[in-house]
Amino acid sequence: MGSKKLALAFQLVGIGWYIAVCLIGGAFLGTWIANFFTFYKADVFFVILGTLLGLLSAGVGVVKLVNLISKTD
Amino acid sequence: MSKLFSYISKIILNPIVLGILLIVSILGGGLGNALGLGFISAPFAYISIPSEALYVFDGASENFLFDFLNRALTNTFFMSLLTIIVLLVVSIKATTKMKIIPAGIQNLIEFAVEAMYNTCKKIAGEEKGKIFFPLVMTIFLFVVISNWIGVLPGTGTIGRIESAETYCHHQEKKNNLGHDVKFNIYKKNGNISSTLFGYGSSKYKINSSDSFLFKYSKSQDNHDDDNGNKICSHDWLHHEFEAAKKIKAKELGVNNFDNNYQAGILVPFFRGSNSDINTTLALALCAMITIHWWGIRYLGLFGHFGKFINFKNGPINFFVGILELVGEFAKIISFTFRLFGNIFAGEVLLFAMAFLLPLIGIIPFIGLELFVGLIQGLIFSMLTLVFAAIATVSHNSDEH
Repeated sequence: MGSKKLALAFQLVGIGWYIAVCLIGGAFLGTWIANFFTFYKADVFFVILGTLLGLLSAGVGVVKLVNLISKTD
Repeated sequence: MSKLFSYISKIILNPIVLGILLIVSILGGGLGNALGLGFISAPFAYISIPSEALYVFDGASENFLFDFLNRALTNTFFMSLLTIIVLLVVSIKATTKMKIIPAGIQNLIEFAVEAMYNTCKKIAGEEKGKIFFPLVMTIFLFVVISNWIGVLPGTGTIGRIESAETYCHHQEKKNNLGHDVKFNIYKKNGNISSTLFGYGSSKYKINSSDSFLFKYSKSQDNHDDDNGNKICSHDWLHHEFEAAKKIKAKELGVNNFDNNYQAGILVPFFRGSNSDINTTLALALCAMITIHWWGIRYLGLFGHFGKFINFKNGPINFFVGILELVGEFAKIISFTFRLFGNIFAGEVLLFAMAFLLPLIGIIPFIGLELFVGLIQGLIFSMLTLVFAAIATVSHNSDEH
């Protein structure tokens, strides 16, 4: 595989990892924030909220990354 | 130099790296667990055909609202809402500041819409294609986007832990005892005992695929076990759990486990909406009811239902009509189970591969699931279009 194609392959794999890290990071963030609240099922609420925020950041980031990759190519 | 590097990477580095990943996956996964390894495996997920409530509101039996929410607010319904939000956001983004020469997301959406619109016109004709297109495109977009969202990381893995006691009591309320369930051991996470990942602690050298088998079943005369504890009671569960912990501790060579562990199952917050039969049944009913409505609209009430109850042209046509009527119900069932079966089986496959080969085993199957999600959307929408086209044509017409 040429070095350009290899670089592109790594960039695309990186996008996948970026999505996973955003989602899981959001879930962990939600767990951490839930430690400061004591209302009923606070943990469930904040984990879901954190994961959704992670999904939102993953979506925005993926669009920007794909635009960047397509411009450099 | 670059040629040399390219040669080295192709022939030597790529196979070595892939080989290492494969060996680490095998040894760290469910297969390696049998050898005492399994250091990166996930617990085998509890596979439930019905969708699970996001969280259970207590006092459900006394309160109609809580009872309704416990049934309605499921993880798959939540994912359906997410699908709708994604479609809304994409539509708004694609249609604001539209350009004559489309670019970016406007270009992508125009391509998809135009392709489907031309297909509708080709199959159903100019006039009918315009009428059928909204339903066909909606079904396609909803099915494809919900299938693809169901493959994202976090679906099926992030959730709450339902303790063995709670699970047992829920099954008892539903009168659903008498089956074996494998609970996993989860570490309580500080104050939060009911959320997030079911991974064991390294302190006791538990890996997350250790599990205990709790056999609970209705005895013939009453609900008591041999020690006089009522099945599913707190005492019964405590007794079973303590006994199982002692066996496992002896196996692992430790004294015992502390109270920071609980037995339970992981109830995911996110689950692909088409892995719930209610969603696929709802889509199938929407499609078939609309198809029949169009049939009535184009052929009239007696013209449309006259295809099924047909006393003209002899008894053979009458029986053919009855068969066609049965076929209409069969279409609902086939729509429902085709989509449900493909997506649910895909989810189970992903769970199994994540358990067996954690790092790399799941990669080709995620690709397969993306492909299957698209194909199933196409199949559902195309069949809806074809059935609609057939339903709006009279048996006597030349268009047939």
